Amino acid sequence: MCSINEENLPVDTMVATPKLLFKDAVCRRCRILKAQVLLRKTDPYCRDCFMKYAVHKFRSTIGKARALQHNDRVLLAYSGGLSSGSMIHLIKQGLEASDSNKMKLIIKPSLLYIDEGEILNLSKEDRKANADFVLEYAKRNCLDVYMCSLEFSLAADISGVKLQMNSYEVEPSIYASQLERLFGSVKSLTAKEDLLQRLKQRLITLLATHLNYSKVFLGPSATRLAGQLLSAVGQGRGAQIAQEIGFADSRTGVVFLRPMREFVDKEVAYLAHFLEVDSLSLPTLSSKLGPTASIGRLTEEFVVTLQANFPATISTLFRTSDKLKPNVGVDRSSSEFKDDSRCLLCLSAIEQSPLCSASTARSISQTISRSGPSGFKDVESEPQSTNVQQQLKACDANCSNPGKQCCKTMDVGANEKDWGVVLCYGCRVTMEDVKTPELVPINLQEELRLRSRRQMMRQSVEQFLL
Amino acid sequence: MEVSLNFSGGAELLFGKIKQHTISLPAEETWSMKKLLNWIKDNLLKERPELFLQGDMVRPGILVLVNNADWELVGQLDYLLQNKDEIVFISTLHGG
Ligand SMILES: [Zn+2]
Ligand SMILES: [Zn+2]
Repeated sequence: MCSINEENLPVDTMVATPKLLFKDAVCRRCRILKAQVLLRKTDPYCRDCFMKYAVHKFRSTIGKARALQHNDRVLLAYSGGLSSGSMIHLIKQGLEASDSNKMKLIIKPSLLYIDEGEILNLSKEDRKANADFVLEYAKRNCLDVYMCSLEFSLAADISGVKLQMNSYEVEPSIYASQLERLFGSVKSLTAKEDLLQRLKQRLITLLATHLNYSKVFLGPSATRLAGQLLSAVGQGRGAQIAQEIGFADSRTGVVFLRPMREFVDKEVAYLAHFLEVDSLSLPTLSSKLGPTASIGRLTEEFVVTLQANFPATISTLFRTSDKLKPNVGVDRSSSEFKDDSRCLLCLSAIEQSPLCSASTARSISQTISRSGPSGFKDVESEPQSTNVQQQLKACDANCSNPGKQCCKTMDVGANEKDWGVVLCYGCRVTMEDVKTPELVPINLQEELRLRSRRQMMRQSVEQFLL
Repeated sequence: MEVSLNFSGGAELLFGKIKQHTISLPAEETWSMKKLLNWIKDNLLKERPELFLQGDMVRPGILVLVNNADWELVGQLDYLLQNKDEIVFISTLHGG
């Protein structure tokens, strides 16, 4: 992949892999049994050695991050898919391991299933059947399962959420039609997938907090995360990569952990097969659509295809992304300030955009392209032709918030253009594709007003202290 | 000749949501995996063949196991099927 290596590598590693080099190979670890698994195109393992390797990798992913304490209550997000299903099997094995064994896992897990049927256009019967599959799965694993429907992500707070335990009925709610209308109004599949992810994250956080779980395990594999890494860059979420695909994501107050992130999809498939993990036949928003249907679909296609011929693809992406650290520029002590600098939708820190940032550049070029030749004159004199920029000029040089919104214009009426105060860049891009933003469960106008007022108060206090 | 086929991880969505198929193939012919894939395409695949096959091959992201072993270890497309073989197709693709 990397051009530096081109001359040093033998020619045949750069072209499609030589076929059938490992026909009838013997396991390279025990050197006794016949191999059943071929990893990275070069490492044949027998089933037993593969399982040992996988269990060890799973435990060390959890262990090395030191994210868990004894008897932690952990919610395991279960989608019905192979990756989260395998994750739960591995955790069960860890719980049942003997005490003397260092591999013993001491946590108190329960399952959480979010029914996305409403936006996947599944019939009530299908949703019930899926839920029954999950209930049966939980029962077989002797775990409690909390069940909730995605439409409740639109509820203002937990009191509006119908949460069920060890049973599930699809019941009509006002949020169901709201969710349907919301997704119906989203123009692109990319924005739909992003919105789905944000809403799911919001709902899980709401439920975990309510149920008093401080940790949630999510099941995405390395392959899925590598695709998400590229999508995140493509969608202007580059600053959030460490949280979006790293092992731990603590943006919401509830800590999301991704213990399957060291397994590529081929390993997940082997695991699921050997552990006899059954999966739900769940479609996704992009099921049966071509590779260019959305950014997420395209990056998945890209990663999977590249990985098939170059097994180092994913680890290269991961090694690169693990070096990226979030640039936390906000270190004021006030927690209120921290809350005010977080995106309402995904809870990431909103990047402060100085006058010369990439997002300013994008907004200038967008303004120019949209205004056309006739509107260009106005644009030239005022690069950001929003009211923010206009009023910034009116402010005297003492403005304590230069480059952003001026202190004196904080209380002007909020409109879509001002989302920068309450949404991060990635969420703004998504919300631009949402035709009915009022259906999203965050009160943008209200929050914008509150944030502006708090900021003014802080400023007057600061002036007083000086 | 009887062969068992199993589709999972979402691959079954392309086969009318049915995971387990038992098929019988005329035993007087020799059946390579390559030939089997063509047979599946003509006889079982319900829609969007490009989401299952790419040219003669199974699409990247779908794992193929022959009797619990990766098909790359038994000859891949050239493997010759035997009576009672168990072939498993596991999709790990999101948009499958
Ligand atoms: Zn071995
Ligand atoms: Zn955001």
